[in-house]
Amino acid sequence: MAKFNKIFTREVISLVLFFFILGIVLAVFSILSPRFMTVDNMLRALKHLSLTSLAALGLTFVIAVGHADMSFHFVSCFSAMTMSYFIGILEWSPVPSILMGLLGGLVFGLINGFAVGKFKLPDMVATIGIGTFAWGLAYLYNKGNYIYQNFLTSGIINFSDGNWQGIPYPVIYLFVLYFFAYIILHRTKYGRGFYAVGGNRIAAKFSGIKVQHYIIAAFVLSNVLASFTNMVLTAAQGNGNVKGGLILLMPAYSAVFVGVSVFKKPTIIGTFIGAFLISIMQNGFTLLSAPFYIMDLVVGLTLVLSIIISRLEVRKNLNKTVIAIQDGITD
Amino acid sequence: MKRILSWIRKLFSPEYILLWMLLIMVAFFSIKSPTFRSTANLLEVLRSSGINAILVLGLTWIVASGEFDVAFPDIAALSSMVLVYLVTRGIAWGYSILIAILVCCLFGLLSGVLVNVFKFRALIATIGVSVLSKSTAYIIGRGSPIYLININKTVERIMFGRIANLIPILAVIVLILYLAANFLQNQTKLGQYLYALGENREASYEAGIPKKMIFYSFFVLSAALAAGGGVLLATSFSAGQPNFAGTLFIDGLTAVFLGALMIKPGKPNVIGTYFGAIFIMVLGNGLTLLNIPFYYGLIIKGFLMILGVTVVAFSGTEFFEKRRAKRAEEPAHQ
Repeated sequence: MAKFNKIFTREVISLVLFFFILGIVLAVFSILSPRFMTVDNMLRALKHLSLTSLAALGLTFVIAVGHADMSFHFVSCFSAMTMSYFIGILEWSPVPSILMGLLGGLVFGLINGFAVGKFKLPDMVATIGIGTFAWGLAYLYNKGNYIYQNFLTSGIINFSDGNWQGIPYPVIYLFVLYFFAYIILHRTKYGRGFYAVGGNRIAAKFSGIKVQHYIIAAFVLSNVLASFTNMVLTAAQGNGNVKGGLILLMPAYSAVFVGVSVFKKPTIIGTFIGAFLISIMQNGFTLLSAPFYIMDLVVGLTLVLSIIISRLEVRKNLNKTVIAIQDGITD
Repeated sequence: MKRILSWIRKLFSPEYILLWMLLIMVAFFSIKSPTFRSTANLLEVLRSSGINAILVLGLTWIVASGEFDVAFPDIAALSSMVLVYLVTRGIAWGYSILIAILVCCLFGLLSGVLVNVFKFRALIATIGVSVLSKSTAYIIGRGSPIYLININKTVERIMFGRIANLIPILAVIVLILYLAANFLQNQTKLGQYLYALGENREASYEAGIPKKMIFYSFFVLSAALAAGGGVLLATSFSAGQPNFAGTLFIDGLTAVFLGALMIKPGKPNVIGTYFGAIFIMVLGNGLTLLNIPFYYGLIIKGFLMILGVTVVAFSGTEFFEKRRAKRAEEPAHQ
């Protein structure tokens, strides 16, 4: 019996439950739409997945240190407009422009990190304020208008539409970045620090972990990855748009919390399967030519249901922090 | 004489910094723009700040009790859609408004359940609720706004009417609402409870504060007030909008956090929020009249929000405590 309990831990049960739900979703869509289960469509779904899941990847680190980031979608707008400005108005070549965009994300990530980590400002308000500031700055580049000059000729389109031996670039970004994030967060001593900070900050401090450093790193990762995502999105759309990144917020939170509901703590694999579930559903509804607001509904329902599922086995004493994070430091 | 002096001294204390910022801004815009300083415009600013003020009244208390609600703009949108949908189907205005507010209360209740029963951080729960209410609003209109043809006379009068052709009715209603809320906040147990929850969650649980009841009522209240704001917005746009232009959220939050600078430094309170809402509207109106694009307003609001939260965070913590302690120590050393 003890052995039985060891195999069927909560984690395994919820993982099985998750794949059961995923299986039902896949089955329903492949019955409803014959085009769903084709290689072409799956590749398209993966490409779409990469756009929603990279922002979620950064957010995972912020949730792991026990904070919330409400600025990454605003900051991503700023970075994408920075890139568009360098490409469209200053006529730089793509790579330096992308680097300038990432620099924008880095700067705002540092500002967020210092505000929350060093100056101990309340995370939500501070990040919303900083995000609003960044979003306002994004309007300055072209008075809020689209930037589309030079997009077709400079080769920036390749950033999103290119492929390597048939694999689209965004899919490569997805797997490479997720692989490194997995190694860092789950396979190094450095990565354990994120969970330690999120679980018990005072204990972490007294075990010699640089708490501020981890919080700043988490916010930098979140903002830089969201910026990267939105730049790929901008390249795919062929114009820089000040509101382009705002759609990143909800799917990112949903993906992370689907992961939390499966693994009881924010993990890279959890975020990945969360993003996968959401984008496969969005892809399915697109094939059924459902209107765009159904996507929002799907994302919202997934988020709320994943909260409810993750709380079905509620334990005592989980008022303050996410229960999952507490688990993270006990194992 | 002494009393007057102490009053004057009080006015210069940090508790009234927002009032001074507001006065300086009004003076600045008045010098720059003759249109701004006309009585008609100033009263119009007061009137239109009312909508924002109604939207964020519930949010003020939620933030003061240490939680968060990001759903209010989307709930307002949902309320406007439900209202206009029912009205265009020929249902009487009174019933339509009632149903719109009740539907929104259900969404508020959902936030309350997610926070109370499923113990999730209010931010995550309300993000979920806001997406749900936004998509419900879209579904009602099948993805587009619904236009209103006739507006009920009473609602129009509440929105645009003037007492004696001068004082906006909406401003009076909002003022009464805020004074009532201020009474609840300062003179009843509820007010004590909500600041106790914001101050020390654990201690207030131990003291037996009915926190579940409080959070349920706050989330439902916030949704109901947002719904009321949505009804006013629908009459003002003469359409139900599934997605009001993006700055509603930022304006509301800025009002609450600027308000936290006032009266009770560091804690959101209704009078502060009222002045915060007026502040935001003066800023928007002044920038428009000076022909400055609205995104400069966005930058200023973001900056003000950071400034507000910094002052709030430091007012309660080490920085001021240390200074206070130093001041207390100095004579002892001599």
